[in-house]
Amino acid sequence: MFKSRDIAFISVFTALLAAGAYIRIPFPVVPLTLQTLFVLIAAMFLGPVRSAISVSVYLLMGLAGLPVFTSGGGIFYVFSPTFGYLIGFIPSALLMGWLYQHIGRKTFLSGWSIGVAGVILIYICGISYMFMLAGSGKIDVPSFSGIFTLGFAVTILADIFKSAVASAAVLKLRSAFPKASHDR
Amino acid sequence: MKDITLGRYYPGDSIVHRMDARFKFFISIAMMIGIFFLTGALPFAVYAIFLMVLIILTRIPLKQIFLSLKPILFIIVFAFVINLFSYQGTELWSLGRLTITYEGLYSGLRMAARLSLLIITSSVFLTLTTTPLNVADAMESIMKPLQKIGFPAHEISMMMSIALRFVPNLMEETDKIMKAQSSRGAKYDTGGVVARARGLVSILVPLFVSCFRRAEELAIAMEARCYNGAQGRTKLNVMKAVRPDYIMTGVCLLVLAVVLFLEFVRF
Repeated sequence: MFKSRDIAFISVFTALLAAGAYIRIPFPVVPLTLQTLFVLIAAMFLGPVRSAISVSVYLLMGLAGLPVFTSGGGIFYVFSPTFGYLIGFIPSALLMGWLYQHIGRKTFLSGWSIGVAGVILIYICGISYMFMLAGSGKIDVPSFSGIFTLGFAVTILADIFKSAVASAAVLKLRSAFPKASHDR
Repeated sequence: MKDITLGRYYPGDSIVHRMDARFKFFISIAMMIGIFFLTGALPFAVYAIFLMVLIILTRIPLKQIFLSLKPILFIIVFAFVINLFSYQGTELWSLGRLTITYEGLYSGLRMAARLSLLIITSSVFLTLTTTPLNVADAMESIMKPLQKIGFPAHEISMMMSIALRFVPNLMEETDKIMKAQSSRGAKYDTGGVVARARGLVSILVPLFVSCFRRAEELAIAMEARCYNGAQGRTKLNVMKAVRPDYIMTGVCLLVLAVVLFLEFVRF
């Protein structure tokens, strides 16, 4: 089912995702983690299938108790309100990878808009997961909506910035590896 | 976090450490499902005592246990505070519009206890007493039945082990590239938005290039050693359940049964 080449690529990018959870770059208000950036680039550069499998393996590792999430790992992570964002990485990688393969001219702007679409999908998953947890009464999402709106505004801006960075990086990578990007 | 390949594993030679990782996996999941049904103080207390005994058996310092609670501490406190104020009933204390009721206090404590016990359970059985490679191995053998319907259990566990092995390298690599590029004048933590974006791109491109190189080398190495999936592959350390595993599992399930009995049968 998998060739050893696929296994090698998927594993290395899974490792990169795990490493990305720990690397923070100072940025106004909230520090940037590199993880979302890695997902964005991997999806556009590796294609939908391999990047989505990378993300899924990453999630499985974390849930199985391997210390790959921002603060360790374990099955209880499903009760963390932010777990939905991690789940959102999977459909988002599929969507971005597919879109990027099917657009004609790969320009900075088209890459950016695909990145923003992916980010929006991640947020949809993340926010609905939060509300699902709140609805089931296991965790309470605060009614202090002001704080949360502020939080979302800041992180969404940061993520739109990340999409731009990812789009630029993918363009450079594509010119460095003209063949590698459309393996699958 | 250079020691990520070891995770929070706390080396030891206790009965819990020596247990088969697959059994520990099943026990911790059964326990966690059980905890969700608990509401009364007595079942919680009995279960907490059981966990304390296990912790003493494993000789894990309490500090380690508290460290494993840290990631989710915020949520525990949050759930506690929210529950505190959101119940109506006998008033305990009130400040303006906020009222703490007896029921709220009780349900807050219950929520906090439930979450803490969940995390401590998974730490004691898995994170602290099982090496990550053992966890990956256990995952493979748990997912094996799914192989019949085409689920790539072996490949997934292989990817987990390889990824785990590469995490420290890639962190080091990222760090090195970040330093190298900033010594060349790349700015990713100061300056305007465009300058920062440029700086980030100058880190990401070499990072991905080096990942590609690594993956390529790994693929060649695997092919050179004739790796072709699970077919005919043997293991150095075969997981084998022995009698203490069954006894331990029996004891744990018995405790779970007692706790659930105390929960559902009120005297």
